Formats: sequence, structure tokens, C-alpha cells
Amino acid sequence: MPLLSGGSLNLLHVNPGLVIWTVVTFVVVLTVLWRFAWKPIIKGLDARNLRVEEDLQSSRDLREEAEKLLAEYENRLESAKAEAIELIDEGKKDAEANRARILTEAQEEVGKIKERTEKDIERAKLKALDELEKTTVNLAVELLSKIMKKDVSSSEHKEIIVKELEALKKSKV
Amino acid sequence: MVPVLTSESFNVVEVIVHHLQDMPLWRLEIGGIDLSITKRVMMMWIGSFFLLLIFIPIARRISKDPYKKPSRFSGMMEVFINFIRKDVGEASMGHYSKHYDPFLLTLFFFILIANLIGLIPPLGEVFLTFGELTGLVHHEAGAAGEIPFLVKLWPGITSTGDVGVTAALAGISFLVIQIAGFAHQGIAYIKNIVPNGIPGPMWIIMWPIEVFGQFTKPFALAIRLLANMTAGHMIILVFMGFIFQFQSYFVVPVSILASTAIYMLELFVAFLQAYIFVFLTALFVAGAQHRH
Repeated sequence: MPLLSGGSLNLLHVNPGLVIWTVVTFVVVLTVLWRFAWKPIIKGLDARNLRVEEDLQSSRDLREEAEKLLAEYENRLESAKAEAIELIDEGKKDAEANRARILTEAQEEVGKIKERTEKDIERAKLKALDELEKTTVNLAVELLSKIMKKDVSSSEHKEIIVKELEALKKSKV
Repeated sequence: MVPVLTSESFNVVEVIVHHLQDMPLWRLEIGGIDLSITKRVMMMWIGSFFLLLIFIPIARRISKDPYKKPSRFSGMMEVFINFIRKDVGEASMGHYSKHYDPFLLTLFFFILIANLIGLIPPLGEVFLTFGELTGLVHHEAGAAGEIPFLVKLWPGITSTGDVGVTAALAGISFLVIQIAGFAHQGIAYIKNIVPNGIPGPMWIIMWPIEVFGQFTKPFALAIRLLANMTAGHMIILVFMGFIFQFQSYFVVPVSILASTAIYMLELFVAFLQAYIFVFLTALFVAGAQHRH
């Protein structure tokens, strides 16, 4: 089938010599490249791929490990924080309790002292009253005997006055 | 003497034939078969030489230390190699592909380099023509019809633009496909050519069709590559031919722009066709490996 009239180009004309040369050349190139190029190249590329994959895997593992460690440390930190807060709380509570205890103790002490003082005062008052009473009776007896110029037996008068005073006291109360 | 081209003396067909037609460079005949070293054989050898020159040093480097960062060029080649292995071989054959990797790689780069160096014009011819035009080179006073050695050194033809070459490559693919079929399925491959689940009577019709199909697949491979590698060259030559045909300077920029565009397309097609050839071969091999 001549494609171009006027020329002699026949695209579908098969030249057997060319076929033979092509097959020979291709087989030679295939053999040589197979042995000296493709084998080592494929081996090298596969080795590199394997290495890359391993590196990726190991980096993934490392990352995972690091993340785990980080999480662990974070946990620890968290728990330490919680512990510290707890300790502080405890201290605060203790201090509070101590304060309350000391306060109550002090208040109790104060109360006791006050009571004792009151009692002392009471006693002193009673004593003073007693003494005042005695002195008053004596004074009255002296005065009375001076007024009556008569020596009344002091015991008799005393009795009367004490009685009167008792009555007075009762009426007062 | 500067040859003067006139529209009468210029024949675009002759030019195209001159550039696309194979021609013996060294005559050789063994056992009655014409085994002349033709332009295409020469270009095929140059391409093969380049392949060895490119890949053997890369292999040396990579086997010395596979973990070293590859150079820019070998890195690019590795991308191609990985592409053929993963996206062509493994994608179609799965884990069986590794036995076919060297074949697929050789096929791909063999076609690719042939396509690519076919895009470089015949350097010897260009040099001699320019030399003669400028008077710097005197035409060798060789025997009449003798092709100058410089021209022989780089005939500048696309070896994959010849049906002989593409048919030979497709034939090799055919063999590999059939060998893969028998290697994976044994003798049952002959029977299993017919897809599974075909009822008995249909089988009688289907089997010859499928057997015929085994031959049409590589035939299509051969024709596809041939047509693609020829058409672009032809268009470029026709565009350039316009200049001489019309004898007008106004045609020059149009022709140059158009042929540059086609040249760029050809560059792409060179890669595309090498890929398609190998990809389809891998698919056919995968198809022969397992019953459908």
C-alpha cells in the first residue's frame, strides 16, 4: 500500500532484515540491562523503599512512645498538682481546726477566770459585808451603851441587835 | 555550489520519503537475507548504546549505596522506573509483576529512546549542508551515491516509525504474553482463552475468535506505535515544505510556529506511546495469567 504516490514510501512494507536486527538488538539490550542495570537498580530501590518504610514506622513508633510518655508525665503532673492542692487544703483545715480549738480553749479559760474572779469578788463582798455587819453591831452596841449610859451586858444587846439585823436582812431580801 | 530550490524543483513528497524512508548504510547479506545495517538499525543501536550508558552507571551508583540521594538525572530515571514497576506492572499484574519488570522496563525505555532520538534531525546531514552552504566544508569526493560517513553516524530517523521494528517489538510482546499464559495456567491456557461462563455452543464460536484476538492485540500495538511515530514527523515535514512550496517569506513564521507546536506534541507523544505500548503489554500479560 503505497502511502504517497510519486514517492516510494510504503508504510506497511516489512523489511525482514530490520525485524531480525530489532529482535537481536532488543534481546541483547534486554539481557545486558537485566543483568547490569535492572537487577541492581530494582534491588537498590526496594532496599531504599524498605528503609524508608522502616524509618517511617520507627518514627511513628517513636512518636507514639513520646506521646505515651507525655501523657504519662501529664498525668503525673496532674496528680502531683492534685496532691499539692490536697496538702494545702489539709493544712488549711488543720490550721482552721487549730484556730477554732485555741479560740474555744481561750474562751473557756477566760470564762473560768471570769468565774473565779466573780467568785473571789463575791467572797470578798461577803467577807466585807460580814465585817461591816460586825463592825456595825459593835458600833451600835457602843453607841447604845453610851446613850443609855448604862452598861448593858453587851451580849444581851448584841443578841437584840443581831435579831433586828436579821429581821432587817430578811425584809430587805 | 548552493543548490537553488524553486517550487518546480521542490517536491514535498520526495522530501518526506527521503526523511522517513529507511535506507541501507552498510550492505550486508547473510544466507540470502538482506541484513543491511540501515538507518533505522543504526539509530536503534545508538539508542541502545544510550540506554546502556544511562542505566549501567545508575545501577552502579545505586548498588554502591542505595540510601544515597540520587542525582537529579538518576532521580528522574528512578521516577520512570518506579512508575513502570508500580503503575504499569504492579497495577495490572499484582505481585506477579516482579518477574516481568526487567522486560517491561527494557521495552519502555527501548521505545522511548527510539522515539526521542528520532526527534533529533540527521545531524551529519545538517552539518554537511550548512558546511557546504557556508563553504566551510567541502563535500567529500567519495564515490557517486556513497553516503558520507558523518551522515551514517547519526542518520536521524525514528526507528519506531517503521513497521518492521514495531512488528518485531509487538512480536516479542506476543511471545511474552503467550509464555506468561502457559507459565501461569499450564496447558489449560489454550482452553481458558475463552472467558468463563460461556455456554457450550457459544464456545465453539468464541474460541477461534479469542485465538484470533491474541494476534490482533500485538498487531494493534505495532500499528499504533508506527502510525503515531510517523504522523507527527510527516506533519512537521509538510509544514516545513510549505516554505519551499510557496516560495514566500510570509509562510516562514507560520511554518516554523506550526512545526514547533507539532514538535512539542511529538515530544509528548514519544512518552505517551512508549507508555501505552508497555501498559497494554502488561495488561495483556495480566490477562493471560488468569482466567477471566
